[in-house]
Amino acid sequence: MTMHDASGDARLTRTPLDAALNDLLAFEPRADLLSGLDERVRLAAATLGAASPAVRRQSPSPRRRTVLGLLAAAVVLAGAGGALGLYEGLGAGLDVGFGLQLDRSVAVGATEVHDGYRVTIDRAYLDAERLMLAIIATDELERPDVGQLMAMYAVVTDQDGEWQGAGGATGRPIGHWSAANVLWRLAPVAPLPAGSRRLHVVVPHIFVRDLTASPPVDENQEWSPFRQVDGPWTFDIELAVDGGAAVATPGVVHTIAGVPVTLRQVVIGPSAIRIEMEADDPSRATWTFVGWVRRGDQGFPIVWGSLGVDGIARMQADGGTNDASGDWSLVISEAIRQGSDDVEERIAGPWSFEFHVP
Amino acid sequence: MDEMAVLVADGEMPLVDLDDELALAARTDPEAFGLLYHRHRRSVYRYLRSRTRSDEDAIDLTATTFERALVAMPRYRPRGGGVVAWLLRIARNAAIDAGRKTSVIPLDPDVVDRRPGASPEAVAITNEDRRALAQALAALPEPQREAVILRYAAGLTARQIGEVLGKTDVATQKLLGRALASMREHYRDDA
Repeated sequence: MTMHDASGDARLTRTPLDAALNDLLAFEPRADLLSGLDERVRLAAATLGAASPAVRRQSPSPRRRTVLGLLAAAVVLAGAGGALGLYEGLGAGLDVGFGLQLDRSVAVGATEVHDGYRVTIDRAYLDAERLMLAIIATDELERPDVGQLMAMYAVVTDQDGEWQGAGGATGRPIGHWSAANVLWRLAPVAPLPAGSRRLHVVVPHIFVRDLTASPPVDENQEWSPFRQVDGPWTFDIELAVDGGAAVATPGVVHTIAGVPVTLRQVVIGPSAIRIEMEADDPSRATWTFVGWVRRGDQGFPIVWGSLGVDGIARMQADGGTNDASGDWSLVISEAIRQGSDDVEERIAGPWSFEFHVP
Repeated sequence: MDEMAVLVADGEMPLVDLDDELALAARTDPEAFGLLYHRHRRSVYRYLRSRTRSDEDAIDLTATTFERALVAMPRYRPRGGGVVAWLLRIARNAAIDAGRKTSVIPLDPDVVDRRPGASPEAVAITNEDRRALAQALAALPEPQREAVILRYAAGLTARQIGEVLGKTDVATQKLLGRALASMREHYRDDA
């Protein structure tokens, strides 16, 4: 582990004005004040139950690594009644649809080794909008200088183009030389038709923690204990599209701050809901919306959205259903209007856009 | 911290990954909190120093920021801007709470000039230039000034600035663009 200042190399020196601003604002605390600050934070951490935040430049000891590695392995073995045990809870904080995706995921087992690093697409789930890949990365050579592995990035393409990154990725070690990872991708064109889909998956690189790397003495020097291991690991897989999707074009309009806002389209899949809203704003301000999709007592929170720069705000709610029939509503609790003058106007709702799916 | 899950924003950048990993680990591992503190204390201090009138005030608010972060760490969730944007948001709130929201950037050019190891650019820029620049910065509307400070004092990206200020990437880029354009009108940009 290191003690380095993450801001060190981020300072900009592109133009004379950049350089002047960098320099003008390059405040450095006096040594006596800095040491007082360190001590105050250390005491706060101690008071709140954490120990000293004082910097330790060494990596965890080999003994500690071994103990933690064995502990992690034991947890995995104890909890792994099946392969799903590797991933349970892993993506829960990122995606409320993850449990469903995991339950319905299929074993893939596509695997490839490069320089002793095995990357395996262990499981996958595909619905009409989104792909979830569960990937195992293992150092088969069990290199003593390698610790944590991460295989959280993949380029996915199909006949329609490249799938978009969305929802991030996550992972956890399983033992010392292996890790379980999950990542998500959005279909370039949604909803996908029923049937199967051929996907080309490339993991161009993975990251491993280099246990021999020493932190730089200079705090300003960028440093990371992770190093990139280039592949690529390449796979062609075919997955069935789960559940289909219901497409509704409600056309419901509410006037918000004098601007007609239309719910144009809703695509409801098993684990995600995509929404398109249009704000017919003559000032060409951008609009974004906060809220959730509801059916009865079910609620699906909007977790991300586009900027709406073309007048269309595209959003996604996590969670979904196989059977979308019934009465739905999109509840917008807050509309955010960003004018060309950079002034952000937050307009409190709620507005309810009702629609029906046969 | 080896047994903990790590979260990343689309899986690519180890430095960002490391921050999020540290933040998760810092819930239970004081070593991880210490590393986060040392990685970001300078950004936090520089931002706060640009909003306060003395080194002591900035140090006090920097300590407050990390004390609050310590308490709030279990609630941290990895987002696009990462830990540093989260910390700067706490710092901004701390400054506002303390009533130290300044309308004028409190710069003392002479103090700045005495910094050891000043860059060649620093030497080249005269005190008069510094004053002109400080005045141009102080004359900016509040949101623009905030964005510039977060960019140049704390080293944040547009995305991270947006997270601190509650604005979109596009809006933040516009904000910065207008701020710099305005400053160029009032500050000689041919140094």
